Amino acid sequence: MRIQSLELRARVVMEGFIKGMHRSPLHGFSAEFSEYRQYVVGDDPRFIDWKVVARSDRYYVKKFEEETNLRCQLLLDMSASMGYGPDGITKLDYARTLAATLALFLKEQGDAVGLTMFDQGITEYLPARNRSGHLHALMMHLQRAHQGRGTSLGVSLKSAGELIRRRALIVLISDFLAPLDTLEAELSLLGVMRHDVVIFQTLHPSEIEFRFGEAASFHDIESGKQLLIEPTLARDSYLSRFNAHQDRLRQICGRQGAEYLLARTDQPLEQLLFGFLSARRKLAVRHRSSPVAS
Amino acid sequence: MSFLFPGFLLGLAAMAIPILLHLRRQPPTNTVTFSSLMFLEKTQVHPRSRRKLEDWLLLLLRCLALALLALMFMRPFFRSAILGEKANNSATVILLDRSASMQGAAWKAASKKLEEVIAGLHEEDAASVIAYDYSTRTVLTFDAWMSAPAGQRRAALRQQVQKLTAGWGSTDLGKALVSAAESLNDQQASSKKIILISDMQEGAAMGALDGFTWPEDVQVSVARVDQPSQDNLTLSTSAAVEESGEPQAKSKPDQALRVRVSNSAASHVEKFSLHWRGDEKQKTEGSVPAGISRIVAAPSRANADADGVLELTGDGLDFDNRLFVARTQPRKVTILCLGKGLSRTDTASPLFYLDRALTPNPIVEPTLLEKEPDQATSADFAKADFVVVLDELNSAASAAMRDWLQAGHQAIFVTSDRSKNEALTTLTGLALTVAEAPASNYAMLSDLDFEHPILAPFAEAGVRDFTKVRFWKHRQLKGAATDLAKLRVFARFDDGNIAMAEAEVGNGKMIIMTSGWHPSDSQLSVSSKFVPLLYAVLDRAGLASPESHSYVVGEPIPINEWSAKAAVKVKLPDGRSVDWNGDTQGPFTEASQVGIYVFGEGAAARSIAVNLAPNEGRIAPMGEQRLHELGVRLVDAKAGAISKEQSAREALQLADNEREQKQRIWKCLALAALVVLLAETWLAGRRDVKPLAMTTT
Repeated sequence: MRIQSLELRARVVMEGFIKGMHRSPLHGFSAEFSEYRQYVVGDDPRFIDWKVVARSDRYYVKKFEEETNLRCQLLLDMSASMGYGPDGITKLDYARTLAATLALFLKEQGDAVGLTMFDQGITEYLPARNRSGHLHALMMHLQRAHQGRGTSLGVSLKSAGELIRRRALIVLISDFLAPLDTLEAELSLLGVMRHDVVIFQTLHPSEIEFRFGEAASFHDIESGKQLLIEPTLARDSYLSRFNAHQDRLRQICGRQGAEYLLARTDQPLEQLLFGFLSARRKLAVRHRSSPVAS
Repeated sequence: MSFLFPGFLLGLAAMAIPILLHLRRQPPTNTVTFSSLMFLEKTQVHPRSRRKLEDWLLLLLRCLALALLALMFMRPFFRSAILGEKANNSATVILLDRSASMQGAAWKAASKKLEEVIAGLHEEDAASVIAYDYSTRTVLTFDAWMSAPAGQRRAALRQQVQKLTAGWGSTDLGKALVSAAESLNDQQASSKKIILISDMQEGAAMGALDGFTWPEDVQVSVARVDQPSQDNLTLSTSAAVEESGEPQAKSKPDQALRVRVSNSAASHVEKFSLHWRGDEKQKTEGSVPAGISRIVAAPSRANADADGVLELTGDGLDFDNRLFVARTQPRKVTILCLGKGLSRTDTASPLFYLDRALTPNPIVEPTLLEKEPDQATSADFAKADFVVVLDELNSAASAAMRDWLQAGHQAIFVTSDRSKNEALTTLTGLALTVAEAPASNYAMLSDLDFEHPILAPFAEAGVRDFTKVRFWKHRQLKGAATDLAKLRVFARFDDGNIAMAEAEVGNGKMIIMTSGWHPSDSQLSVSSKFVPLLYAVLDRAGLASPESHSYVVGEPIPINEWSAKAAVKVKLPDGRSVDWNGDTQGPFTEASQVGIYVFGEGAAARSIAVNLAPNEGRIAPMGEQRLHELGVRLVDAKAGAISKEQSAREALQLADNEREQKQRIWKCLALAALVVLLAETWLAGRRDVKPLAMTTT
């Protein structure tokens, strides 16, 4: 985080994980396949897939083949809890870099990238576009964005769902330190809208391990509430509740088909993205190699 | 090591304060900002005792400072230290009130208290007994006590005090306390105590304590004797009676004797009756409220010329219910008149007027003796109390009279037209000449000095008018200014000549009049000023003042003033007789009981009444606070019985005080505490410089 410019930082990160990846003729997100539809009168006969006709003697058209370039919308949690980082690097810094790196990576591939920032509601919205200058504007938004107040995941996702009409890859970056009651319903709605959802949960190691020594007054960065805590006594209870929360989050993600990734702030970002993209490529290869249902 | 105030050991409990402060630092001062408290609950913060004890050196210093301070207040000392130790004993003076108010049941109670006190004395301690009323009498000295064999000292003391009885004297408690305190001064004892056995009456005199600095090491314990009754009326002579010199109804039979009846402050009775002893039928009844005194007329008595006892009834205490009244006898004054051809029947003679002016009265019984001036001898002068010179004296008579005057007598020298200068010069020792003043119509007195004792009775506005007294003839007194200045002129004529002057002659005085009172010289003898003037002259010579016939117990009674003989037999009220010589023994000082004292025998016998001091009847109890106010150091003691343990404890306490005062270990401790506090301050300041890092792992 010594590099102040977000764009530069993102480029350094991207180069880091690109170098580690083997070159492949298949490109990640753009290899996504469109749907087949039975031919009806009036359709342009140019789009009839003759190979399918040859095999099955039925007329199918490859619809929107030219529109299958990836549209990605980055949803970034700007709530106050994202500002936590006792060692100088906040979760928000980490998340911003992550978002910027993804945006840069996708732009390099020629995909459209948009940005939505939220706390208790949508605070910034940049629709996904792939034109010159858009990436710079996105970077500027990320750079200038200020930390917000509390977190309302449900409301924010619902609003995002309403804004993002076209099918897209939605990358949700948040610490998810908020009630998860409405998260499943909203993810379900995004699934219905055929959005592909990837969740990056950004957490600081002290939030995961809770290794505090001295008794102290703990101050909630979002609500301002204070509690006298003896960490040695409170740790077990904390970890128990925290892990239950994490388990529930993973279960929700699993049920709703959203990909979940834990982004620890002490973990190198390129490592995280390398792992994520590698897994994604394998998934794409598997998806392409599988026969299309007829 | 011992401690003067071991109670301050409790101060060590204050060490708990820094310990607790070190153990508890609530609430935690550090704050940790955290992303969300949604997984946290408030927990009980452990007391510091379960945590690491921090800053143990600082805590140690703080505790040490408090311990040193507590130790300092405990005032430690070493008993073994060499101090020039005194013997660890005590000296006690038993001060026993034997005044008149202790008569009767009070004396029995006092004897009982005395026995208790004696029983509480230790044979090894020093003891003394002083009895007091208006005077103090040491019944048993410290030396007498110590000289008695150990084990028999209390018995010896009992033997001495058994002889004591209550007297009739007034109470001078102040003098007695001073005397007792002074007697303890020489005693080398660690504990000095006065045990006062008294009824503590409010009438006790305390004046002696006013200027007295009470010794620090002498304490007074009061063993109060309760009077059987507080209902007490006191009979005494009234001040008016004493001043006017009219104590008896002899001169004014219709005027009864007036006496003062005082009621004690705590009394519950008011009514009383007065009667003469032997004549209970004639009673005077009256009432006087508590704390008030009233002058009442005594009942008339049949035999007013005899000694009498006026008795009061109606109260609870008897000792002050009698007033002794002595029969009065006028003073016999012999006046020698020296003049040629003096006649008591011739109106032209000055003696005619003297004889009529100086008649016997209750105060003075004058006897006029006339003598030719040239025949007067020393023997004539010796018999005379006063001399009136109306004519010129020869040198022998002048010399004799001069000797007589120088012995302290007084005389009047009236110049006449026959006066020459020799006698006056001889008598006064001044070069004075007498010459007849130029004849004029008449002269009057002016420049009267009313401050002179002779004219003082005329100082009042209504009686100071001398203008009606006209002087047909008078003489001029001339001489050197220095000689004339030696005369005290107290009246002049309106022409400036001296009318009356006083000359000092040795111890005596001589009044010089430059004009006579007989008709050829003036109208003085027929004026209203003449008789008072004569008595004023006699009074100036001490011959016309009333003699006191009433004294209080203990008051010296001057015999020589009225007794012809220096050695007299004195008959005491209890019937005993003593011989008393006024020349060698001075005034009679043995009037230690109330009653009538008869001095002399036969016709020359003279009665003197000795009564109680009026204040002795004021028996209302005086608070011990009064003693405290006068600087007397009091100890609490019940009925004067000082337990052995208590006195030993007090003695030890005193000795410990002295040791501690000498060693002064507390100063070292105070210094040590200061050093420790400085070290603590330095350490705490150093510690605060380093910030306390909050570790968040």
